[in-house]
Amino acid sequence: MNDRLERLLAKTRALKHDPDRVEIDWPARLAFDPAEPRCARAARCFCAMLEEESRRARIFPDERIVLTRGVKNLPRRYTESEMAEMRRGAYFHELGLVFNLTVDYPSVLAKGLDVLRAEALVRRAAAEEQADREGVEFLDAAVAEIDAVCALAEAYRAEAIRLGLTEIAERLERVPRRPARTFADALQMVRILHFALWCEGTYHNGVGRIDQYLMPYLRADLDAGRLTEPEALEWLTEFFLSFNRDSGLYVGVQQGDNGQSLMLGGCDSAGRDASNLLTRMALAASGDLKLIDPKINLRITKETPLGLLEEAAQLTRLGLGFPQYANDDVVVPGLVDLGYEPEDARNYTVAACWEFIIPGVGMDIPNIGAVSFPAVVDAVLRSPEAGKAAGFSALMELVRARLFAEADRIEKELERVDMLPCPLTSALCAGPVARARDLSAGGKYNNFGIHGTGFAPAVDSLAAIRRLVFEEKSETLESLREAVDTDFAGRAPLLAKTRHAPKLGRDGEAEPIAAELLSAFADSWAGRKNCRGGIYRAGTGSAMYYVRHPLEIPASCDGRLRGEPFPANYAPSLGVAVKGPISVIRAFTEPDLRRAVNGGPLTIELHDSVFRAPEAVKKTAQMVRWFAERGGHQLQLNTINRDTLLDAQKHPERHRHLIVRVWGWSGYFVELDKPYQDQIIRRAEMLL
Amino acid sequence: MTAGLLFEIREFSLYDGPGIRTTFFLKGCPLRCLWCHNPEGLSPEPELLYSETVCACCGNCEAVCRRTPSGGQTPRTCSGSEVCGACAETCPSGARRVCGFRLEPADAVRSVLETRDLFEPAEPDGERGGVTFSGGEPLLQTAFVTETAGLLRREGIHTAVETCGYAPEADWRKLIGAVDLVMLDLKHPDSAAHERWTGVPNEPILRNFEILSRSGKEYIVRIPVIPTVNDSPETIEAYARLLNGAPGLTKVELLPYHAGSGGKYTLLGRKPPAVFPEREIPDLFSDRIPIAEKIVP
Repeated sequence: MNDRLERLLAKTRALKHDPDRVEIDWPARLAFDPAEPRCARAARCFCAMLEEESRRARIFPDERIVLTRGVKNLPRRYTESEMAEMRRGAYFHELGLVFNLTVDYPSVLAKGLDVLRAEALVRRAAAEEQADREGVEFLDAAVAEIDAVCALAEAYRAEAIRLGLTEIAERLERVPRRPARTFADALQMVRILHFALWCEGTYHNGVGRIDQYLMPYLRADLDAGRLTEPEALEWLTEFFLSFNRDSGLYVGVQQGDNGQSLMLGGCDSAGRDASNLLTRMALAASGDLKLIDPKINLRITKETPLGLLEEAAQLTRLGLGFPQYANDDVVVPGLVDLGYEPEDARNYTVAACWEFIIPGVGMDIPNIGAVSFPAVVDAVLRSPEAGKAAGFSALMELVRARLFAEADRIEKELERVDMLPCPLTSALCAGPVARARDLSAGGKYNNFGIHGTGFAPAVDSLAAIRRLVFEEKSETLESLREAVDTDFAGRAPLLAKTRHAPKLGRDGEAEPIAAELLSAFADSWAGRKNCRGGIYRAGTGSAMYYVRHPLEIPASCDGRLRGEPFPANYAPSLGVAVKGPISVIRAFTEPDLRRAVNGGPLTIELHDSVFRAPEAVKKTAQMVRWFAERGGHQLQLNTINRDTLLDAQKHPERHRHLIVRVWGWSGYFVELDKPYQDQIIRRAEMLL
Repeated sequence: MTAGLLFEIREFSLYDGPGIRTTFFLKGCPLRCLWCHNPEGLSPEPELLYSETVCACCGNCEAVCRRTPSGGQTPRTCSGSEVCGACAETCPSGARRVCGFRLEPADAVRSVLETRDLFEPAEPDGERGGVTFSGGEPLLQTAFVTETAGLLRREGIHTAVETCGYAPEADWRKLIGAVDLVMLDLKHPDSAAHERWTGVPNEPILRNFEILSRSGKEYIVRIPVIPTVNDSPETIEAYARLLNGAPGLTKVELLPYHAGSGGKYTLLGRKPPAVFPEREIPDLFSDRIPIAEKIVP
C-alpha cells in the first residue's frame, strides 16, 4: 500500500465511530398518514434520509471514491405499535425489511440510473392504463428514490467542485446516471448504490461477484492504456476500504455482522472457469488491508489452479478468517436439484454469511428458521415412544419423525410471511419494474432457508446413546434423561463415559449417524412449498443460534454440560480432541452435502503457528483442493491462538485489530460480547 | 506383526519431511536431551499424564485407583505396568489421560489409507507427502517401523524417519533400508559434549552416519540449535568438517530452540531439566555449511 492508502486506512479507522455524525430526531421531522401506501412511505423515508445525507456531503483528503455517512440513524418507517399491529397479521422476519440479497450490479452499471428511471416511467404509464394502483405506487416510489440517489451524487459533485477535485466531479457527472465507462466509474457507482441500499434499510446486502462484473471495465482500461495493473489495485484497495467507512453503523447481532460480503471466482454462465485477474487482485487487496470488510468468499472446484488457492491461503495465514470457500462441484448441482435454473445456479453468490443466493433475481429468505439438532435428540430422549425402541435404528426412526414434526411446526409459523417494500432495491434488481411489483412481493426465487444448529453435538449424543444404551447396555434412556436433567450431578463416571463415546471428527463410528441425520434433515424439508411460492432449503449453518439454542435444553448425552455452547456451523463439538484438520475434513465430507446447500461451512481452526512454515500456504491450498475433491460444500479455515485471545480479553486496548471468524463473518475480537469471545476461546483450546 | 507403542498421530504435520504428512510419534528414547520438548516420548512404557489446571477435583479417580485401594488421593502420575487407565476412563474433564497406545502395523497403515490422496504431489513437480516415523526414537521399535514402512511401501506411500541414529548397526541398516527418506538428528559433533547434554556418547551415531552416507541413499541432517550447547563458532566448524561433502546429504536443517517448549513436563509431574537462553541461530551455520537452512517449527 502506498502512503495515500495508508493515510486513508488510518482515516477510515477513525471514521468507523465518527463523532461528527448527527443523530436526527426523525419522528419530529416526518409525520405519517396511517393510510399512506407502504411504498410511498418507504420512499418518503428514503428521500428524507438522502436529503440529509446530501446536505452533509463530505469528501476527505486523499479520497477518490466518495460517500461517507453523515447521519447516524435511519428514519423508522413504522412506530413500534404499528409494527406490532402488522406482525399480528403476518410473520415479519427480523426487522421486517428486505435483506440478505445482492442486487443486479452488472445490469445497473451497464445501463445507468437514467435508463432505469425511464424504464420505470414507461412501465408506470402501462400500469396506470391498466388501473394497476399498486403498480403505480411502487413505480412512483422507485422513481422518487432513483431521483434521490442522483441528487445525492449531485451534492457530492458540488462538494468536489468546491474543493477543486475535478476528477471526482467529472466522474460524478457520469455515474450513477449514465453507464459506467471506466473501472473507476464502476467502483464509484457500486459505492453509491451500495451506500443507498443501506440507507433504504436493506441490510446484509452483499456486492456479489465483483471479479465477474467489474472485469470488463478493468479490461477496457488496461487495453486502452488508461490504467496499469498497480493503479487498478490501488483503486480496488480504496474501494474495499470504503466498506469500512460506515460499518460502525451497520450492526447485526454483533458488531461486524453486517453482511458486506462478496464472491470471487467460480464459473461463467456456461460453466467454464471464470476466475480472472480481478480475482487475484481482490485477494491481494484484502490481504493488504487486513480489515473485516468486505468479507471475501471464493468459489472453487476440484480443478481450481493451485496457484489461486495459494493466493487465497495467504489470507488465511494473515488470520483474517477469509476467504470462505464454496465448492461449485457440490453447490451448483445442489441448487439445480432445488429447482434453480442452471444458468442462475452457476451465478450463485453468498448472502450475508454463507447462504447461497442468486444475485439480481433472488428474493430467498435463507435464514428464516433454524432447527436445533440437539433439541430434537433431547425431545426424542423424553418421548414415551423412545422407551419402546427395540434398537438404535428404531431410535433413529424417532429422530427422523421428530425432525419432520419440527419442520411441520416451523412451517406452520410461516404460513403468512410479509415484508416491507424496498423500491430502490427492487429497481436495482431484474424483474420488479417489469412486473410493476416491489421485490418484497416476490422475486424469481422465493425460497426459505433453514439452518441446522449443533449438528456435531447431536451426532455425538446419538453415538453415546448407541454405545451406552444399545451396545454396552450400561444405561437406559431413562437414566440418561435423568443425568442430563440433573446436569450429570453425582454421575461423574457417566459423564466421563459420554465424553469417551465416539465423536464426529474423531471416531469413525459416528460417521454413519452423521450421514443419516443430515439426510433425514434434508428429507424433512424436501417437497414442502412455502407461502411465497417457493420451497425450503436445508443447511448446515448456525448463525448466532450456537449461543442461543444450547440454552433451550439442559445438558446433553454427548457430555456437554448445561449452558455450554455448540460449535459454530458444521464443525466438531467443542472440546473434542481431533487428530487434525484432515480427519475432520474426511469425516465431515461423508454426508451428502449436495442436499444441504442452504450453506453453512465446515469450520476448522488452525493454530497460527502452522503458518510459520514457509510451505504451509502451499500445503493449505492442497488441503482446500482435497476438500473440494471430497465433496465438501463450504469451508472456513481460521487461524487462532488461544494465548492471544486470552490476552485480548484482558487487555483489549492492545488488540484493537485482532480479527476472528465468528460464525459467517469476521469481526474484531474486542468488539464481541463475552459469550461469543468465550466460545472462540473454547474453539482454540483443542489446538496443539 | 509387531505392535508399536505410540504417543501421538499428528496429521497435516508441516515440519516432518516433504509434502503433506502424517507423523507417527513412537514412545521411548535412548537419549535424554536436556532441551527435549516431548518428554512424554521418553519412556518406552505407557504413562499417565495429569493436568492440574484441567482437573475439576471431582474425586472420581479416587474410587477406582488400584494403587490406593483404601481411598485417598490418586497418585498424580504412574507408569509402566502400574498404568491401568481406570482413572482416565472415569475422568470427565480429561485431566487424566494415558499416554501411549499400541498399534499394529496393519492398523497404522489403514489409518492413513483413507487420506492418501493428500500425499500425492499437487503439481507434476510437487513434493510427495506421506508418513513420517518420529518420536521418541523410532529405532527403539525397529521391528514395528520396518514392518509398517514395508506395508506402506507396498501401497506406494512415501515414508520418512526422524531419528537420533543411536542404535546397533544391524537395527540401523534395517531401518534405513525400510524407508524412503532418513532425517538424522546430530545433536553435537563432539562425543563428550554429546554425552553431557544428551546422556549418551555420539560414536555409535557417527558410525551410523558413516553407514548412511555410504548407503547411496539421500538423507537430511537436522541440528537442533541450542544456545550455549552447540552454537559456538568451534562447534559450527566441527559440524562443517563432519557434514560438508558427506555423500548423499541433500540438506542440513537448523531447528530453533524455544524456551517455552518445556510446558509438557508438568503433565508428568516433572520440571524441565534445563532452560537455555533464546537467541537467533548464528548465520555462521549457513556460511560454513552451504546446504544448511533454518526451519521454523
